[in-house]
Amino acid sequence: MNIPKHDVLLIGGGGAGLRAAIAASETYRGADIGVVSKVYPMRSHTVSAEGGTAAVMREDDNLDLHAYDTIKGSDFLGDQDVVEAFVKEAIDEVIQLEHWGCPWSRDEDGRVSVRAFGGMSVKRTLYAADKTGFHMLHALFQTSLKYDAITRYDEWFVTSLLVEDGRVCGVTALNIRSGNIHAIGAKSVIICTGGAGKIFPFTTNAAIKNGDGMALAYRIGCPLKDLEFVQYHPTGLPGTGILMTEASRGEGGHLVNSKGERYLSEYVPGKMELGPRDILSRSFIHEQHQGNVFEGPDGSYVHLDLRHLGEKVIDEKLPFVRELTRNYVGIDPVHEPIPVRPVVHYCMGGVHTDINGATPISGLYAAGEAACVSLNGANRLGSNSLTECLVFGARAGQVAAQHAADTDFADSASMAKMAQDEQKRIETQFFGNNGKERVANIRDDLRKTMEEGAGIFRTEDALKATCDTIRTLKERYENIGIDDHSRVFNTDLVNALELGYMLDVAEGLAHSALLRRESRGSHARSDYEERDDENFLKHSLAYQTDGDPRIEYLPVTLTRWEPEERTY
Amino acid sequence: MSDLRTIKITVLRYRPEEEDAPTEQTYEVEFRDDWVVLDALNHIKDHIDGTLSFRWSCRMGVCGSCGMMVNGEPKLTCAAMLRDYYPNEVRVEPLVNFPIVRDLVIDMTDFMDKLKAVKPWIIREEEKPVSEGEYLQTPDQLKDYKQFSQCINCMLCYAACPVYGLEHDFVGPAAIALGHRYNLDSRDEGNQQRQHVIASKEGIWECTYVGECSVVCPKHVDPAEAIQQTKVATTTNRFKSLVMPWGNKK
Amino acid sequence: MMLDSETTKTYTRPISKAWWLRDRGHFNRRYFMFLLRELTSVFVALYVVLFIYEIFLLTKGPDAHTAFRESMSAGPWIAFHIIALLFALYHSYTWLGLTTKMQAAGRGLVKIGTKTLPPILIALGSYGAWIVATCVIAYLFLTL
Ligand SMILES: Cc1cc2nc3c(=O)[nH]c(=O)nc-3n(C[C@H](O)[C@H](O)[C@H](O)COP(=O)(O)OP(=O)(O)OC[C@H]3O[C@@H](n4cnc5c(N)ncnc54)[C@H](O)[C@@H]3O)c2cc1C
Ligand code: SF4
Ligand code: FES
Repeated sequence: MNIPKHDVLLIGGGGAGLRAAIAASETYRGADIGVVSKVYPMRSHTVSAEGGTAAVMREDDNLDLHAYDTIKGSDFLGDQDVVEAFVKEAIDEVIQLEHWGCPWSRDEDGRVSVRAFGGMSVKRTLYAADKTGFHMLHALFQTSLKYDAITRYDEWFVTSLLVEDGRVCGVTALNIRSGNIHAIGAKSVIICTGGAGKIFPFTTNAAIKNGDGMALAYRIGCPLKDLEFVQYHPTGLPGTGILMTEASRGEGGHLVNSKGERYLSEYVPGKMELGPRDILSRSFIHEQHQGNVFEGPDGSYVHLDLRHLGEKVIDEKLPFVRELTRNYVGIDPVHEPIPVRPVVHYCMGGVHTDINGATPISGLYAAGEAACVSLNGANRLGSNSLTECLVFGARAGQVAAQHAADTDFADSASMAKMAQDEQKRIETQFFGNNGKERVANIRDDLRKTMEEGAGIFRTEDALKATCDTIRTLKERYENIGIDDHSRVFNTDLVNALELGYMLDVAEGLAHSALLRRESRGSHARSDYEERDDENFLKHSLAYQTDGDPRIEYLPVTLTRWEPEERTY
Repeated sequence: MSDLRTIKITVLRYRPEEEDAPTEQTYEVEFRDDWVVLDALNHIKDHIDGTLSFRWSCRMGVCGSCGMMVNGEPKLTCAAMLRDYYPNEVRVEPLVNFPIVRDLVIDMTDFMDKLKAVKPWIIREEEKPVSEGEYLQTPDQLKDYKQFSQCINCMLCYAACPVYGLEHDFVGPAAIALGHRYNLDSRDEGNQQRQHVIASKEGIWECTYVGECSVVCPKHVDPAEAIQQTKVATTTNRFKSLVMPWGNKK
Repeated sequence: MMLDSETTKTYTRPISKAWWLRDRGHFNRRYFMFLLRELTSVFVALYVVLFIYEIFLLTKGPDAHTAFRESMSAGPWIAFHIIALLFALYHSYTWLGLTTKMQAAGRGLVKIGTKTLPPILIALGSYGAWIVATCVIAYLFLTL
């Protein structure tokens, strides 16, 4: 039996996946790379990133400052060796992308421009107007087309990781077009599947962000790290969750409550609109409790006011914001303030890896939002994550390729057999049992309970209830039935498989949050309001078991920065 | 604001395992004022008929997956408000000029091949090492190609182009615009290498200037303009090398 | 590079012969105007044939030419000339209008220093040149 095989196989063709693919193919001559992506790579969610990507580019900046901002932003949970490597390699990575054609916005003298961003003490965020992720992804994708060593599997959906003798040796993937499940062999597999924002009801995240890769790793015994940390972005459109980029505040926009006050002076007087996201999102809730917010059909909101910037600045620096608000809420920010509220935006946690993107399982690597190296700790600074995709995508690509150079493929016949078993498993589970539960209903219930228990503020009771609900949802999932029993482009089946991933990630997340009895970064417990370095200056690791997940802990790596109180 | 109204949505269905030609199916959907056509399709999929297949992802007009024909016009369904069609019925079909794989999903491999053919990457005789920093590019130089770099590969322009419909070898609006984008980039030296695809019979010269591509483009890329510019530049270059064969051609 | 040994059956919709008139049930003005522009070439070509024939007759002596001119004053021929003129005008007008496309919104081919010439100037320039050239040719013809 002949199955396709690659030295390095990427799951995911977003920013991290494509960067890793190019890095792997450049590591040694003849390296053969595969990229599996459930959507055409240029559709990956990196495309929606707006604001920018951080690196030290100017004379008034330095590596230590970027590192300190990141560590303080992370509420001291970021691993400091990781942060130091990150800020150092960030510079070459963004320049590399410039060489690959990314149309960075420029200063008059021809250098790439930088803008201010939340939690960054100087201007260090490179940008391409307010479509940074779009331009980065297309530059990476178009550049990747010239590498003949890269084979793409567009619209193939990974359903499981293949494991033999304790090491990962490939994947099984559903070719969405044909409906067939295939084994793809690999010496190294890198998970770059992005975040899991879709387990929450209001999110900036696209339909494809369901935590697939995290669940794939979790299911073969790889721990998920710091899952409880979920970032809310303070400025999403109510209802749709469409993001109003932080750059709108970086360029000088104001947040104003229903009394017409710039209410952040109460919470982050030193930084105002450029305070970090976790604090800004919590300030909104405080304002809500005091009745200082507007009420609309999609709940409470405050105003993001850009009017004083003027039409020219808005069109030059924030054209996408204007396009989005005009299209989706019928508001022109040149003349009217924009209604905004906090929405789920980013997963700090993910597949546990070391500084090179290697997981504890041989042959398995991870990078990008799906991974937790951990750079972002308890709260990511805006514009660090696109750079993270580049820096750790490249690192993981290289290390995975080196691993592949002295490894052999597993036996084809046994992998083909595993693919057959997988096809059978999926057919029985989804086509065979005439279940009564609809995908959409379980998904809606999951999202509801996640918001109730694992939202901006959390408590022991609410989290316990959420853990219980997830358990019953998992039982209901066993009894799932889907309408579509055909093979060709069966998106009903894809959605059902994704729901399985979402439930696993949600379970790990809620249990990690339940056991972290402190408040740190984005994880705010109303019943434990203080940060507790004595007991919790450590990463949580969630392992899947037959029952509830097992949570273990891992110390944080500190190098030069002692934890201190985090005020702005 | 959030009053519910009911709208009729007729969708072209094609299930290759069951039928040889497409059929139609009509659904009634209660919609909110801020719903787009894509929201209605998702509502159908989630609550009425899970067998309906279509592509989507970002729901903010930037990933380029959700292009379909809405009442005969190529549109991003995540940017087409239902209220703009109400009380009339909405008719959703897969993008024309492409083969249908299933329901509203088209086969886009042809476009992917053409995209690669125009070499959409920076080509240089000599690469500058990363350690020497960025290539300088002034805002004016950026402006020269910026417009053409906004393409989200949604393929609405291909659906709008009658030439592509009749002549599938035509490289087409978006791919030519992207090739042109790199030709205009001050960092690029690959013009010559792209010429045999872009300035060929199947390239710009196939275009008879209908101009519809630029009308439907949701990102104002104006591919027709890219094609016209390339025609002029190619002609002047040919002319120059004819009257001044000694002149250095770049 | 996409591994696609597994393509499935697809359906290709036929293109109607009248696509330029009715585009899936809607009249598309641009498709129609486009076809009209293509059609103009037919008349322009016919006129050129006629013109060459006239020059050919000139070489046959003044009588043949005069007879030709007289036959041209018949109603249908006048109608033909009017249509050909209108089409030639339409073709030239739309063709020159395209020159703005080299030039739109600050990233044109014609620059002075680093500043792009505004498209409207290019269009006006082209139309101006067109009118001047027409006058010069008309003058030469009428006075020679
Ligand atoms: C609206 C928005 C704005 C943002 N703005 C910024 C910003 O300004 N600056 C910043 O630094 N960060 C920003 N971020 C965060 C940043 O964009 C993301 O963290 C980053 O792009 C993630 O990239 P990725 O490569 O890890 O994943 P993605 O780009 O999400 O790619 C995931 C890939 O995995 C594939 N995949 C997933 N599951 C499967 C499966 N089962 N089988 C096969 N393939 C699969 C998908 O097809 C896709 O190719 C923003 C995020 C959002 C949502
Ligand atoms: S040129 Fe415009 S219409 Fe065509 S693919 Fe690109 S964005 Fe879509
Ligand atoms: S869903 Fe992404 S463009 Fe419409």
